[in-house]
Amino acid sequence: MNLPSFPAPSLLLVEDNPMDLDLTLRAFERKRFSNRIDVARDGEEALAFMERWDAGEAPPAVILLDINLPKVNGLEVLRQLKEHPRHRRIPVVMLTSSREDRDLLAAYDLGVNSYIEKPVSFDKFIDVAGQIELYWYVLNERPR
Amino acid sequence: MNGRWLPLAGRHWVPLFLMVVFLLMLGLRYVMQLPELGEEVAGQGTLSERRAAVLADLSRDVLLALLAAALLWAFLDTVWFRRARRMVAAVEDMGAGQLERRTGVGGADELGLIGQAVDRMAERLQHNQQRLLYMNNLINRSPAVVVEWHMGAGWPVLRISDGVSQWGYVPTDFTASGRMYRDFIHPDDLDGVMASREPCFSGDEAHATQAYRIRRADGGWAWVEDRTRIEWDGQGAVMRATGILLDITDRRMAERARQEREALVRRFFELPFIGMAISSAADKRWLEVNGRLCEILGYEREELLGRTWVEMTHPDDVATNVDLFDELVAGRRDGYQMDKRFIHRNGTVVHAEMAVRAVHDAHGQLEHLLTTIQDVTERQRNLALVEERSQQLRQAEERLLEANQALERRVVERTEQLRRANQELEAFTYSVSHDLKAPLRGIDGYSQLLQEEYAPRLDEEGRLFVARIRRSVEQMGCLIEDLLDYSRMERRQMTCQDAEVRPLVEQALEACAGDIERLGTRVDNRVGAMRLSVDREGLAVALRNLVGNAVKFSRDSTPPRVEIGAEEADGCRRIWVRDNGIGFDMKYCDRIFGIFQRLHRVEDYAGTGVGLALVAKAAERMNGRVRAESAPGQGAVFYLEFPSS
Repeated sequence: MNLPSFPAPSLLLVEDNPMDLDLTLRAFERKRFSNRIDVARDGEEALAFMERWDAGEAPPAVILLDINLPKVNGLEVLRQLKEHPRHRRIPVVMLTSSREDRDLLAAYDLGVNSYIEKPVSFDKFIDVAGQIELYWYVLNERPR
Repeated sequence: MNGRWLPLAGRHWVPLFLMVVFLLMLGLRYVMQLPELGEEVAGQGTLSERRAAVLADLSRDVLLALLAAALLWAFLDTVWFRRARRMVAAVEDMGAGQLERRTGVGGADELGLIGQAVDRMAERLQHNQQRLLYMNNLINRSPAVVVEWHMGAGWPVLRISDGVSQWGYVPTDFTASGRMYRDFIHPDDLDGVMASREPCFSGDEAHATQAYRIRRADGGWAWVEDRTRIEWDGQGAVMRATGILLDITDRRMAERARQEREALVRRFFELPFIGMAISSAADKRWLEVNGRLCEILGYEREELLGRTWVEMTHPDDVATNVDLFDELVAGRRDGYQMDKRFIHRNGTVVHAEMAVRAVHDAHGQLEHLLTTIQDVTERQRNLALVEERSQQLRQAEERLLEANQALERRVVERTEQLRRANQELEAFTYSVSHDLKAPLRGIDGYSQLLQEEYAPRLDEEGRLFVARIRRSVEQMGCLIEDLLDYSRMERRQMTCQDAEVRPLVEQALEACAGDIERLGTRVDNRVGAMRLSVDREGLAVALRNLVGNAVKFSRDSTPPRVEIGAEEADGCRRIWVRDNGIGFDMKYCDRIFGIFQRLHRVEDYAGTGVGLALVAKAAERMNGRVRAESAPGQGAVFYLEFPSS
């Protein structure tokens, strides 16, 4: 995949749990995922990214957003994103510990694009990373 | 020929008679001429000449006399004898009963007058006879039967009119059959009838009227009223006994019916259930009272009759009652009902329900009042009692209601507690899924990294430790998942809908396909067409766990066998899953469905102890149940049972 005329699309991972964060990154690494991955460790940091995109920085091609975040909740981040006139088109994938998560429904109400249940096993982490890659490049190519 | 009564009318002896008279006259003359003859013999001619002259005179005289006699005879026959004969013949015919016959003799002479008188007599007789016939006819047409008896033993019948036909007889059945009148009389009435005829009556006639029964020709009995008249002559002998019989059967029947009806009405009136009275419309007096009314009011019948009902009415009810009475008398109403009080003779108050009805005569004139009076004192007392009991009941009900409300309050409290417990459970589930899974992900992820990337640097024991960490993590992951499934089964909304069983069984087998293939389990799916009203996901989870269980516990049999079937029997639809595995002791049959209950070590049979609890919970939530039959080493059968709809 070589697109020299555009900066390679990046991915924003919003995750507070250090181990989950580390394992997710390692899983992408295992999948030889070469794109840039920005990391926000809480809701505030995620919102700060939005200001940077407003200021002219290139927004990510996809956002992986944990629901439970310190300071500003993942749902609040999602709400602000989806209310933003431009950034609301950025696909957002929720990260959740369980399908049971009641916040998932709220997330869908707010306009989330998809969700991924965080797997217990690392092998599955790697599978999920592969799915995200697929999603990104094949299924969800953004309109030009 | 009664000719001898009329000698002058004789036909043949009239000329004979005339001849004899003439000859006598002639002889007389001859005898008177004899002395002259002697004298003449002496004085004039010879004897023979004179004798010849006398004989000649005699011959002439005889001839003249014969001629005169013939003329006389002819005259008499014309004027007298012929008319007399006609009259005789006519009178004879009349005497023979031909009253229409007339003599037709005219003339002003005696014979003519006699003839005319005879004709008038015949006319009168004929007229009278016609009248008699007419009267007789009238009598015979009359329903009254006229009878005349002969005064002999048993009253033989002399005459009887045609009216007996109404009893099926002809008159000769009485007069010419040799039967006596008494034979027709009802044996029970005979003594009375005969007794009335025996006594000697003074005077020259007697009348007696009596009723008795006579036998009809058809064997039935007819009531007759007999008006008997007996006439005696001056010497005390019975001259004539006549009777007029009138059939009064209908009258007697009507009379009896009326008597019966009256008796019935009287019996009805005297029924001991309800007081009844007839009272005067004019002055409010009792005219008739029955025994029950006397009983109600405590008076003797004689005491009540003649007194007014006002006298024994409670003072407070008099005005109302009299108003109603006045309205009825004025014709503004036909009757009335009222609950009123009477005063018993002993002074106590009698509560009564009274109904009054006006009785009018044929001209619509108010005759009297019919009253029924029901003593309801006892009922009133009972009503009071019922009221009291009802009051008690109401109080009891209120107490019950209070108790109920208290209970409901407690139910609400308990429900609230339950709701809170549920909430806590949910919160727990939530934290399990979030907080327990997060560290587990860490342990799993890093132990895998350790195993994969650092294995060469670990010695044998280190690698064993890591492997055990990995296995523990895996088991804990399963445990958490099962636990979540269980709590979801408990909380989720069950939506029951018609579902075909077989596809769900196939789906469950599909889920276990890996294990089935690996262990070489022989599966026999015998489920035919059966539909159940169940929550699809609930049944799917239950089947998956049962099949998984059967596969798991039969793995050491050779070959492992799992059989699944469905049947409907004894009012329930059941799905069964049978294996030929290790089975279990039935003393644990209840324990196996409890959560975290295990009969085997984890090392022997992996599992969380949640599976069968999940099956039981699912069955329970779908109004069904699960049960098991087994024995150690004998395999096991699990039944999922639902009521037939």
